[in-house]
Amino acid sequence: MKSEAICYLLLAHQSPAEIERMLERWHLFCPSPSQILLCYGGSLEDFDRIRHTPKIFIDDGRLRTRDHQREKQSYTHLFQKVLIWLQAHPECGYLYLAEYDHWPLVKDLGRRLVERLHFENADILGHELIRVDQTSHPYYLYHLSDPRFSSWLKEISQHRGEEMVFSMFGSGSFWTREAFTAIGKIGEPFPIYLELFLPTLAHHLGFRLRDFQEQNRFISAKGDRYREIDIALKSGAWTLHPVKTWMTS
Amino acid sequence: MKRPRFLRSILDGLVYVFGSDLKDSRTGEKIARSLMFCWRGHIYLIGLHGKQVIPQFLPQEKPQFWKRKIGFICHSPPDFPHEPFSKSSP
Repeated sequence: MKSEAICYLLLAHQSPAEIERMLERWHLFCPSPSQILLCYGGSLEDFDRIRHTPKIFIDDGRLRTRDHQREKQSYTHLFQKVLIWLQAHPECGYLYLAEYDHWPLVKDLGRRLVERLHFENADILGHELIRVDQTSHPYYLYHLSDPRFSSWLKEISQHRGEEMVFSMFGSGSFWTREAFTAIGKIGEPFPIYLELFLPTLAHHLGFRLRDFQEQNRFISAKGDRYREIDIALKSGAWTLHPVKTWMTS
Repeated sequence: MKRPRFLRSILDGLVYVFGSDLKDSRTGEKIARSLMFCWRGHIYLIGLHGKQVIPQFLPQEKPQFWKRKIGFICHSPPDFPHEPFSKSSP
C-alpha cells in the first residue's frame, strides 16, 4: 500500500536565522510521519550553520539565476539530489515542492493535497498549468528559437504522439513519488526553463497532470502578498505566494 | 535589462485606447485586449498579458479571393489521461 507520508521540499537561500523562522512555521503544517527536507541554495557556510535536518545543499549555478526565465532556471540538480535522499526514505509517498516565500495557510494542507490528487486521479498537481504549444506563450516562443528544443520535443513525444508543451508555476507543485522519481532520473538534455521542462516531460512520460484551478488566484509571480493572508484564508486559500515580508519583519 | 515600469504603463495605455478585444473564434469569449500592427512582413501583438493564443485562418462560407481573416483560439485546460509506458515502449 502506498505511504501517505508527504515530503515537503522547501527550497530556500536565506540566512540561517530566517530559515529557522520559515521552518518553525512549516512544522505547524507538517504532522508526522510527513517531514520537511530543506533544499538549500545559499552559501555552504550558511548551510553548515542551519541546525535543521534533513537538509541538502544544492550547488548548482542553474538554480541560482537572477532572471529566471531568460537564464532558464533549472531544478534538475535539486531533483537528482532529492532522489538520492528518497532512496533511504521509502516512507515518503508524495512530495510537495515549495519555494521559501510560499506560505502554508491550512493545518490539513497535506490531507487536502492527497485528496485532490486522488479526486483528479492525477500524478502531479500544479498551479497555472496550461498547454502552450503553438501559442503566444513567451517561454515557449523563447525556447523555440533553440533548434534543440524542437528535436527534444519530437523525441520525447513519441509515446503520446502529439508534440504538446505545458507550462506550470514553479512553486507549489504536488507529486507522487513515482512521477517525481521518473523526472529526476532523466534530467535536462540542455537548458530548458523549469516551468516548461517539468510539466512537459512529465506529460510525455505518461503522467497525468492537473491544475489546482480555484487555488491559482492565491498564487502570483511577483509582489508581496503578506497583507492578504487573512483575506486569502477566509477566501478558501490553502497556500499563498509570494509572502516575503515575514522574513525580514 | 528590465523595461522600466513607466514604459510598461504607457504601452498598457496605448493598448487600452487603440487596441481591440481579441475573441476566441470558437467560443466568442473575450480573451484579452491587444494592439495589432504590421511591420516589415510580420504582425505584432502588443498586450496579451498572461493570455496564450493560437492564431489561425478562419473558415469562410464563400470563396473570397480579396481578403482572409485570421482569428485566435486558446487551448483547453490540460486533462489528459495517465498513459504509462508499456514494457515494449522505449
